[in-house]
Amino acid sequence: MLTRVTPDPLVTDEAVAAVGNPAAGAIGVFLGVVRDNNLGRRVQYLDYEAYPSMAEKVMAEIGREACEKFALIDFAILHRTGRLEIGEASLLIAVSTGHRAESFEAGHWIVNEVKKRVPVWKKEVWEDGEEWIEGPESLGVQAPASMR
Amino acid sequence: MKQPPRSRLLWPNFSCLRLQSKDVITVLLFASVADKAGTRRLEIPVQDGETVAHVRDRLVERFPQLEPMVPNLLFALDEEYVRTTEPIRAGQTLAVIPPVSGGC
Repeated sequence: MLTRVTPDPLVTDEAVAAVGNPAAGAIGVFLGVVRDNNLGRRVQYLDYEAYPSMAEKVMAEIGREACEKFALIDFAILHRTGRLEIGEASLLIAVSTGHRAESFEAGHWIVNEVKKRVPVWKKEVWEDGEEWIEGPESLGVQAPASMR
Repeated sequence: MKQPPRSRLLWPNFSCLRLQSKDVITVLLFASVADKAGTRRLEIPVQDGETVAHVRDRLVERFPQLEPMVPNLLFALDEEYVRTTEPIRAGQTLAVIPPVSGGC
């Protein structure tokens, strides 16, 4: 298990090595990268802020849940913070599984859960302004009444 | 007149200050909430029997500009998501979590 919030560039090989296991038949790797446009606006760069200690805890929870749901052997979830330029990786996920199908499914599920629950925020910076993106995929938008 | 013990002279009694610092909760603000409030960390006095909602209301009294954001906020007490009915204790850390947008 590897979870990390870091200002340093994310290194795919490190995550792949972290989940390696003799029983694994597949390792799935996902990279979320900075795109140069969003909703028709030209993005110059992104600035990510995190609550690092809690973010790492929540990432570990998500990973453990994924282990139960998808029979994962191991997982790595890393998120980068600070200023990220176009094309740089903000999120790195690696999972090892016995067979290929679970590695795709688990990777997809983990990305979605990270976007809902991990306390990380992204600020988009354009030529003529900037804005914190408050994601529609977050639990915090129209938070369930039970959480308010 | 009898002199007080020397140690007393060197170490004035700070117990009242310690009491004060014990009766607060640390509040962490992030992203848009931190920008709007103009601070990322503050201490808010709390009393026995109070909940997350009490601290939230005191925060909004202090920073009325946060009021429109309240329906979308989540709260984490000592790094665990909690409901606003959760009881709080002095010395804990309450994080105000605006809608997250990590990933990609």
